[in-house]
Amino acid sequence: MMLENGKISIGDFRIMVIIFSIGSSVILAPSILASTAKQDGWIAYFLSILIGLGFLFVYNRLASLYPDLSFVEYSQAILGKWLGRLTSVLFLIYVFLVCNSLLREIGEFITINVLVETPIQIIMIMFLLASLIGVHLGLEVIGRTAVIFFPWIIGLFTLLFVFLIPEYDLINIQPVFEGGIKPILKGSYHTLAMPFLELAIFLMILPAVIKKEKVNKAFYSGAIIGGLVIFLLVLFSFISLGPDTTDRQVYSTYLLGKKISIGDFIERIEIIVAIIWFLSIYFKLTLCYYGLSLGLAQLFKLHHYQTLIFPLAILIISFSILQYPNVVIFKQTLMKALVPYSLFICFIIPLLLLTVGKMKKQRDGSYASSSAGE
Amino acid sequence: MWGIAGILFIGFAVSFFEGRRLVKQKYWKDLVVFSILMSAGITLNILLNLNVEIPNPTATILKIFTPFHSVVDSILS
Repeated sequence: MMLENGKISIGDFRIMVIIFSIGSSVILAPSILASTAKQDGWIAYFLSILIGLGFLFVYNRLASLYPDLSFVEYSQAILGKWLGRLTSVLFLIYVFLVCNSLLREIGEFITINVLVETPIQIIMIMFLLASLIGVHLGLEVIGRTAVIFFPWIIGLFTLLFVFLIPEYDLINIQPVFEGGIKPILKGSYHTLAMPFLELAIFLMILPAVIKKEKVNKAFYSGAIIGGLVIFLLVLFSFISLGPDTTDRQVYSTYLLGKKISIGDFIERIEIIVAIIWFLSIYFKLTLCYYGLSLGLAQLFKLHHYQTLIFPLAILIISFSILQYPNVVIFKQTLMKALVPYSLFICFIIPLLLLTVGKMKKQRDGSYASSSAGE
Repeated sequence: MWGIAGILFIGFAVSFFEGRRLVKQKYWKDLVVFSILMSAGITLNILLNLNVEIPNPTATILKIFTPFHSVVDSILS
């Protein structure tokens, strides 16, 4: 029995990967890189795209072992009933925490920059309601909506980069390689989790893609395009703001938008940055939320995943308040715990599943290949 | 106070409609999972509204993974 009957095409899938990897990095990546790698942050981000492709290789191999099953389903097929369930629970807790952080990020951003007097709860409830409608309608609708909004995201990015041309000053990223290789490695270590390890959530979505033979390529190219967009953003914000200013700002990309000023005519159009962020984080949140409810439904073998989305919404709202009592803890989690935690859940566990799954397939050779196609 | 009233109202309204559908279709397992998650959510929300101290999952994660971070940090600096 299938919980999700919707199918998405390769193009929709690629666009979803691109938007997901743009996601929360738009706001967070420049300041993380500026604080760790100084003016060489853009090199560090390029390096982390290359490392990120290594993670994608593991996900792709894992998904091609069982093309028709999701992470929660094949972890039980590979590791047995109880160990597999434990793995799935760990994975779903991770997805749940990512959902909470995303919602908190957007709520915090709107209360600080746009709607200063409104309580954060109201904003988060509104945002999550929009997301809930998306999850309720299913993956097909999310994919098509992503296709509609994708040109807007790319167009607004182009607008931002073009309008910033008067501000560019290459002196800001010199001297290159000032601190040697270590700050660069540190910077790329800190940006591994944000787009690339979180892409493991797509392991829940991969079985819904039609034309399985092309899905690997779409996964790689989507992550590369999304990564390059953020790479350009990091590079341009370093060139126009300088690493020190980028480091000091919580929302450096928003400041980047405020800097735009062309002939006293185009002024203060920083809201285009906010729109990019609303759109991309909406899809990231919706995909995580979808993956979470689908995964829980598959874990308990329910009939519809839609049953779970309301209780999950209440849990996500309360946990996103509870999880980060203040911004200091948020920053600490981001800098200290996020990367090791994501490495454990999204790299070591899939690698383990891949190794055991491969051995299992080799052991019972022809039997496995016939049963995987069911 | 209004927060608690609001969450109770929304919780019961959603549970009523969703529960009625699940009972009608005889999806008992779905009903059990739904009610557990729903009651957990409502309880947590009420506790948050009353400012009760609740253990924070982030603190646990920080405690587990900070040693690893310090190792990496000492290698890379």
